[in-house]
Amino acid sequence: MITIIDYGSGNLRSIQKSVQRFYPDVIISRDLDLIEKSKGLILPGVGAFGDAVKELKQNGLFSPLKDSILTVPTMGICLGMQLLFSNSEESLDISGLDIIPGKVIRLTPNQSIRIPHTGWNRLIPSSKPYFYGYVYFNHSYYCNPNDKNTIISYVNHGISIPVIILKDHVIATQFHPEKSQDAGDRIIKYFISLIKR
Amino acid sequence: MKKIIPAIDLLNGNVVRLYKGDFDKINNYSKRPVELLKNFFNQGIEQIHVINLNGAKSGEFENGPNYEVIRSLIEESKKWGSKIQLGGGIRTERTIRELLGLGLYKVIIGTIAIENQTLFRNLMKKYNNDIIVALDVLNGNLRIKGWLEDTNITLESQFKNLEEQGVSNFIITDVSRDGTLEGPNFEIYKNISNIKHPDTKVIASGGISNLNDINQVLHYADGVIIGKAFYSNKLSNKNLRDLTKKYDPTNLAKRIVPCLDIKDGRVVKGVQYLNLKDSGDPVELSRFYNSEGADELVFLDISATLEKRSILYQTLRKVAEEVYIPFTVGGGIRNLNDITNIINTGAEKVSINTAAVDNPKVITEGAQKFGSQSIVCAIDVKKKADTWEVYIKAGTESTGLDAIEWAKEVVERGAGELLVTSMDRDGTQLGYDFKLIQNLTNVISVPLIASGGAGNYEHFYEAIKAGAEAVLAASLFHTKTIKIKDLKSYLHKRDIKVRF
Repeated sequence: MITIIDYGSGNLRSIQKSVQRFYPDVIISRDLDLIEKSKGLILPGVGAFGDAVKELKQNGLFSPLKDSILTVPTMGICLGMQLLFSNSEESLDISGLDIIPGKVIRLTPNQSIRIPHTGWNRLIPSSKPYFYGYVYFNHSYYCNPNDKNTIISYVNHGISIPVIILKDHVIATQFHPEKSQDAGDRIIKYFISLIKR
Repeated sequence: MKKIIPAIDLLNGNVVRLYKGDFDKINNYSKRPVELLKNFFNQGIEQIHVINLNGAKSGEFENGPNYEVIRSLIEESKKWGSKIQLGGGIRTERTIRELLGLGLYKVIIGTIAIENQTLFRNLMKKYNNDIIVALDVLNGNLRIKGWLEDTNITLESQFKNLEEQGVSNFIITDVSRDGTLEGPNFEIYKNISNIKHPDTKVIASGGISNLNDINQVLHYADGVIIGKAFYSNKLSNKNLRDLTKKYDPTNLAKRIVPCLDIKDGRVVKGVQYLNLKDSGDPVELSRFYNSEGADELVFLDISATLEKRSILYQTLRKVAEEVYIPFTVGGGIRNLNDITNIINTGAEKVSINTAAVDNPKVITEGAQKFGSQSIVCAIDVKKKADTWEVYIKAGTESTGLDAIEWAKEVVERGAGELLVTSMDRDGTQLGYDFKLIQNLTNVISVPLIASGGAGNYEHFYEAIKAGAEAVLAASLFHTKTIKIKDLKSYLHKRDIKVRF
């Protein structure tokens, strides 16, 4: 069973249906027992870093989730990726889950680079497993892990933005795999392979 | 944007380098061209220069020893959304048609541009955006047939002549430098940059040996082909990666965005032409546009009555759960509660128009809760002398606000994107208001979706050139006057980044 962590807003059914095409047993829940029993976790996210951390804490999810992610294959998506980091410039006084040591940084525009980074950008792989193709982004902050070896793919948008992080059994994407068609499906399938391993 | 273009020269199916174009001085580099291609794409490279040396020598393309390799290279490039320019022995229309049919980005033509004027003029009529003309120079004169033959025509005269025939893409190679690592012939590119039309693209080739050469030649040229410098390890993969980022800093594709009007959960206006089973069903239409390659959708709710909002939410949920295409929703959004309801359906973005003017803090609140990237401000404008005035309530009420000042203010308040409609152009098919787009994108740093007035391919191109990140149209797509796939290939050939 894969559990999509339900801690607030957004339509999680879209992720659920997308993952179910490759792994039927996917639920949306904030029930700690179910989370603990899960073979895989998906941490989604829409909105601001600080609010999301508060929601996790108010739902009593923050610490138990952190413990689970340390042992269970997990996929973080967009803000869900950022929550796995130590802290964010978006909410300086609030710490993240700190599963992936590093910082979430604000993207800055220049003449040819518009921010938010919105739309389809092309993956530039940096280490295996190689992922390629155009994927869908909509964000204003990006993740910068301390350990650069965990970055498996970038995109160029003024700077090289790390967009897929793989650390042990945790994979995190700044883009939305569930909205990224074939290229997104390849990530979802890889996440499922981590569960089956 | 300038292009860093690594070269793959093929001889008998292998990757080789010649010294000064001499077939007797060959270095073998690799027997695995596709692996090499993937390596380049892995560095962020977007365009590859492939030369079929057997073809260049024999003048034959099909049945040659490189044919299968070339097919696999094209296949691989399509997978990555990247581009191959291919030359060597392309001398008939049949070959060009076949290669473009396989998905090749551009064909490079040399000999026939000079030797067969009648054929060349015909080709230019049909394929002007698909053709790059390669001019090979030795001591100021052009050479043809794999550089083996002198023509006694000067570079400058031929260049102007071809430009007049509509050629807008050139590769200029100094044969005496090619494969030598002696540095390019900067004079040639400097001279050409002085006489060329601003829209003409010139790619430099020959003699590039280090980063300094590249930086210097790109001062004059729009792209540079890198061959031996890479194969002899003077330039590393890391160098290619850094160069790409420096000269072509984003791979973000420009977005093609159909707009659908929704009333009581049904799509209305102009969609009856699409021959769908139920052309009023937003889910079916979204699926259709998703398969056509639309990058995002905009839904504009025009039902306006509160009771009907719940029908809208159900409809949007179905789109999010069944089609996966990213979408923006506008129409009737008045407060944070409305924004939250729309985001909860699975929409990426909410578009706010009238409420932004009536109560600007709704933008700020929305941006604080969901991030700027989720808040689009829609601005409808009419031209007024040399300025543009903002209208609200579906364009029925003027506000007295200046569009440029208003745009700055909403961005300041947290809007992450502007959807700007020229009411003067809307429905006219005369083209977007390019000046408006230009003036706005000059003063704001968020992306802009251009709307109102699209009538042909060129209009989309011009709007993007003027600074739009995304281009929106409604009836033009609904009536299939323009198909998104065709529009994308047109833009692709004109060097606009699009997603396939």
